[in-house]
Amino acid sequence: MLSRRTFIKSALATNVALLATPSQALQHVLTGSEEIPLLVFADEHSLNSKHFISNVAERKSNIDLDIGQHFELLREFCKESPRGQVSGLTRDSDFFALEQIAKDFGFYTQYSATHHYSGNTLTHEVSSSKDSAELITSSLKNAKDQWPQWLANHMRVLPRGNSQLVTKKTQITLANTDQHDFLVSWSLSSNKHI
Amino acid sequence: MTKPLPQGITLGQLNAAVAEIEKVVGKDYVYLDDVKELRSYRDPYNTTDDADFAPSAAVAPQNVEQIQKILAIVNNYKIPVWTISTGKNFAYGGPAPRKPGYIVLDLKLMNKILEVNEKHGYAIVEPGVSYYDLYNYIQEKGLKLWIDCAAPAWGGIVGNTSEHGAGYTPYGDHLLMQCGMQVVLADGTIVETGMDTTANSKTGGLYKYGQGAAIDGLFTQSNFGVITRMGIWLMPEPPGYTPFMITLENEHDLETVTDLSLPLRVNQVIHNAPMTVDLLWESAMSVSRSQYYTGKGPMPDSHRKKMAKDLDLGIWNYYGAVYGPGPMMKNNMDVIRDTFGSIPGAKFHYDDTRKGDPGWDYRVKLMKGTPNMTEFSLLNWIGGGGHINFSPISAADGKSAMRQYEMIRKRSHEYGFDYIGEFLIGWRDQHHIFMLMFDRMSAEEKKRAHDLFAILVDDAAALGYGEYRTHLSFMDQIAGTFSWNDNALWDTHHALKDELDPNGILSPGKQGIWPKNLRGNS
Repeated sequence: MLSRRTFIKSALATNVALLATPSQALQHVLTGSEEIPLLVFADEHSLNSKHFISNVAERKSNIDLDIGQHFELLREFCKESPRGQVSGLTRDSDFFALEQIAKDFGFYTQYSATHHYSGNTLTHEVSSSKDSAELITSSLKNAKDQWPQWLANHMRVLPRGNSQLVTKKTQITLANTDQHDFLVSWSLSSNKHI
Repeated sequence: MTKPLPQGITLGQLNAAVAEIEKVVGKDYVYLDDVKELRSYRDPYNTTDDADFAPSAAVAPQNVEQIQKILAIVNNYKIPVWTISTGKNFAYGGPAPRKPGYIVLDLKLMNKILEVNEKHGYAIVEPGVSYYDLYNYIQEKGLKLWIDCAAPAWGGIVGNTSEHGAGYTPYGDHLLMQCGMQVVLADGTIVETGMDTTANSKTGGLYKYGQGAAIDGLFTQSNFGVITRMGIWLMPEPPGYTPFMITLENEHDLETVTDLSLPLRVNQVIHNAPMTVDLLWESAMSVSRSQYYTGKGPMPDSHRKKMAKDLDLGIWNYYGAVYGPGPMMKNNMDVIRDTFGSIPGAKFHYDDTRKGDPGWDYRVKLMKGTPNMTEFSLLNWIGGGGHINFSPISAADGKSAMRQYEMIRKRSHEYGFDYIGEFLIGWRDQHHIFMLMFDRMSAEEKKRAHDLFAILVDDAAALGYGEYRTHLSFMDQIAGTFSWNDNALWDTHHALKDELDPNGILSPGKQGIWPKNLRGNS
């Protein structure tokens, strides 16, 4: 079986193809990673976040304006699934609050990326492990305006583990966009249970 | 990554102390990993170098006995600890220590609700109990009591009260509603204040002062001991509750509404602390800045006015509430309507017409002590928003309020930032909260925010204003503005510090109080 690290290096590089149909390699890794319980959060006001969550099959929660209403769900998940993974595409403040709650259960950020629209420019700034940051950044760029779907498809193979995080940034120009979103995609898991 | 160390302490000494602490609490409750675990003990909204407030370790004791043992160890090595309850004091430093290398003493696991007395309306809680915890407990038991929570409400009761925090019900002055506490001193001595000092005490949660000097306040915004238990009064659930909001069209209406408020507040016609909230603060609940303005610098007035019209908000938005039996509320509301109705353009809003508006909904919850996190949405006003709060005290007087507002707005615009603020009328004063929001991913913007804050402290001091609470970065500067009679107040603090904590292990530098071995080095 492919290791997660090998997969990230090889499969993420072929990201455009992965958008359409999962490759055999991806299917292989997903089969293994499907054993990992996953909880996914999304912002219910943002179109990009709605696009993202509509492509997620796992346990999910839509966030309105009061992130406090989701604390108990997160706590229960972390307690019941210490080997699990919590991910999302949310507002910055919601990620911050959930990250603070999750750390009490030993869940820490293994990946995060900001996605910022300004004029007709979309900027992705990825903070991830050294071996994955560049690949994820270029994958997001290549996905163009389908980046939320790309994220949804790859939530399960985002980095886990206790790596030093590095930051990579990319910008793309999109035609005919009038978006003002500033969203964060992120993934939390426990170091002790990798 | 190099391990941050306290001043004068070697890595060997730190490691030796940590090894001893691990024997007390267990390895699972000592956090050493700088990359993951200790990141959550840093301040994400710091305006200077992240390393300025980086801890070397954190430890989470589970009871008083463990605290006593930890303090004995750090006394031996002379390593400072920085006490937090839940660590959610964001905008003022969060869980981060005043200097690099301190060990964070995190009381999150001491989270027991020891007593809730429905008849007499009080609770006794440990430091790790959050507002959510106490609210949920009361709901589960079906008790007819309200809490008074901070906004946002994820913080702890003990932490917020000891920081002189405020809330939005008639019990909003949290320290005023505090009754009795248990404190562990630096040498491990356990002290009870108030009536719990008597044997078999039955009145610890009922009467604040006990016999002799009332010393509870000494342990707030200070570093003279570790608070391990606190009594807090709770408001009996009233038979009725009427929240209201008044939108005001003009900037100078701040003066009028403040002057009209004071007599209603001190005579208890308005029962809670009314708030006068500016347009941007209110708007940020439902829109982002870039939806109305993508240029640099503060949002122009023309864009602000459009936003106010779109969202049916005022340039100022005044919130208050009355509580009690129906006839009493009706009488009070008649007086309130008559009083504020005299302001040209003033428009009243109530639940029947405003429900569903994000700003209204969360204020209605706060004014009845229902915890929520909606105010945190403010941080999305700009993408990647960080904030520190500049919080001067003003007289509850129209001219004073306008003077502070104009001073801060002028400076914030000069430095390229929006004015985002609110005034909250206490018993005689106003807490003025200027939320200085910046792009925390921009080093240039962080520096500009830092410089603005520093000059605001001086500007305010020149006009005779001091701050009620502040961020780690500005504790010394603000302490310096409370300097009457050749720093007599701070000399007193330092005399107490030297006597109670001779090795200077408890939260050195908290609010500008330094132990003798670090004074002059800060």
